[in-house]
Amino acid sequence: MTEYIIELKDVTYTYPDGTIALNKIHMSIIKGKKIAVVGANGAGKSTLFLHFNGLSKPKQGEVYFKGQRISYSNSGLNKLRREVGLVFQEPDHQIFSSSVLQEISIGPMNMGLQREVVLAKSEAAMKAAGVLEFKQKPTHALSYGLKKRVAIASILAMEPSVLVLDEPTSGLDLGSAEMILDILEKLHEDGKTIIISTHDIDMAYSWADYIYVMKKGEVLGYGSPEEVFTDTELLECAGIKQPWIVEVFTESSKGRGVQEALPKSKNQLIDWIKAL
Amino acid sequence: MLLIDQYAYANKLSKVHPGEKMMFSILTMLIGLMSGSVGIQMLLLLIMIVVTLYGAGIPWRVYLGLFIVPLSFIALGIVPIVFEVAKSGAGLIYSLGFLDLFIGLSKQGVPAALNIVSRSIMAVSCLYFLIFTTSMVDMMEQLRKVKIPNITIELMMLIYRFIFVLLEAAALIHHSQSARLGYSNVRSAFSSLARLSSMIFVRSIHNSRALGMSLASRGYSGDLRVLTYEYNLNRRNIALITLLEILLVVLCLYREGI
Repeated sequence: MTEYIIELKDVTYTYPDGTIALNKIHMSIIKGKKIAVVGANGAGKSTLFLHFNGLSKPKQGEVYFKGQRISYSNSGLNKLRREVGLVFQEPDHQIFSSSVLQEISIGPMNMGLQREVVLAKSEAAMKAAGVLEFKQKPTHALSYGLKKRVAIASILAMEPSVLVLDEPTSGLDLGSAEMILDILEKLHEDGKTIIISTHDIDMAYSWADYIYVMKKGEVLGYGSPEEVFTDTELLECAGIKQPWIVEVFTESSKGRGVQEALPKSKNQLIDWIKAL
Repeated sequence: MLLIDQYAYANKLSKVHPGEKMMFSILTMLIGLMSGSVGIQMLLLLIMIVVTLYGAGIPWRVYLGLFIVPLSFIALGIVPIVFEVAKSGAGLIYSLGFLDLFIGLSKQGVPAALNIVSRSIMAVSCLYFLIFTTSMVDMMEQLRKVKIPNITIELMMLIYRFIFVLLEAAALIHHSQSARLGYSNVRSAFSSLARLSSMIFVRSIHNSRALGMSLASRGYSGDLRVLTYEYNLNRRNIALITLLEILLVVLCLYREGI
């Protein structure tokens, strides 16, 4: 039996000016999985993410965490936000302390822990995000990639069981993006559920266990990366291109008549080509 | 501003306990302010210059450059004290007659101005020592320890952080405006500047909303609490500072003839 950690039922959210940002969203996030939400700009991904930790309250519909409907009382929200950590897309919107350690300690300090415990948790989080050596640095002197990692560490310090990241690799060079994916991979191995939004479909295809495709505030389709990214009709409707690995594989396996498993990564594709 | 900030994090005294540096700077400044002697103030100024330039390793060009701002303020401030307009030339050191008025250097004004200048420069040098050697983060932590109300420190923290956020935003807007010839002539420069100012205002509201959300995500409950590293107090430094300050007090009292 699959255990759902976050469930959205019929979630609708409208902006004050009446624009519908989310329209009857259904989502069931399986515990311990890596989920990627893809869709064009303005599809509602960021707004959706604000619902995961109760920053936005749906106008209609319900959000469940571990099978329980979330409570929007102060204590309920605090409990939820400890469990569901949200990393914003723009690190400058999140970081406001002047030193790295201060920034990372905010979460655990707000949990009312002892100084030693806060320090231990902060250092563990900094280590996990690879920013330990910058702990004494002023935050405004950090590069963009480092700021993103500091933002991740500041959420990790609360030891959430679900990590929600809005475009964790956008605007980063390849090396920094790889580094973030490595961090996420380790967290996944520790049993955390990870939800990201991204425009990088090649990354989403190789990385995720499960894909949600969004368009104009609605979930157009979902499923395993293999299912979603071979559904050309769905992709066209959502305005998304096929990952190049899938494209190369389908084009070159056309007319071979044998049903073969899609390669998940570049290396698997190379192996497949070599074996031809 | 930014230059000072960089030196505050990377100077030869950055590892020294911020409390010691604050004690040195503030006590010295207090002694200087209480003493009426120009000689003592010049001595204190000299001490501060030596400690900042040699002790902390701040380049003298940077240091002197930063003195220009307060010096120009002082210069403007002493003009009305030094110059006096009087009916007779008796109270003036040197004067020019103008109709039936005398304009000249005032006999009381000149020593008073000298006193003000030496006091101000001395006090500025004490503060410069502090801001060149101690980061804002450390200073705020010390203020917290001496029980300055939390709200003040939180405001300092946010203002300090936002200076950089807004500077960056302003630089970005300025670049994008310049790239489209926004500052090519006086007319467009004015309108570009006006737009930049209003954009900054909008951005800061937008930014503060986003920050509020990120704080809420981390269980903010009306009280910003952060962790900082502890510095070790150095007994030798404290003893040295205490000794120096006592010496200065004794010297002051001696000069006053007590």
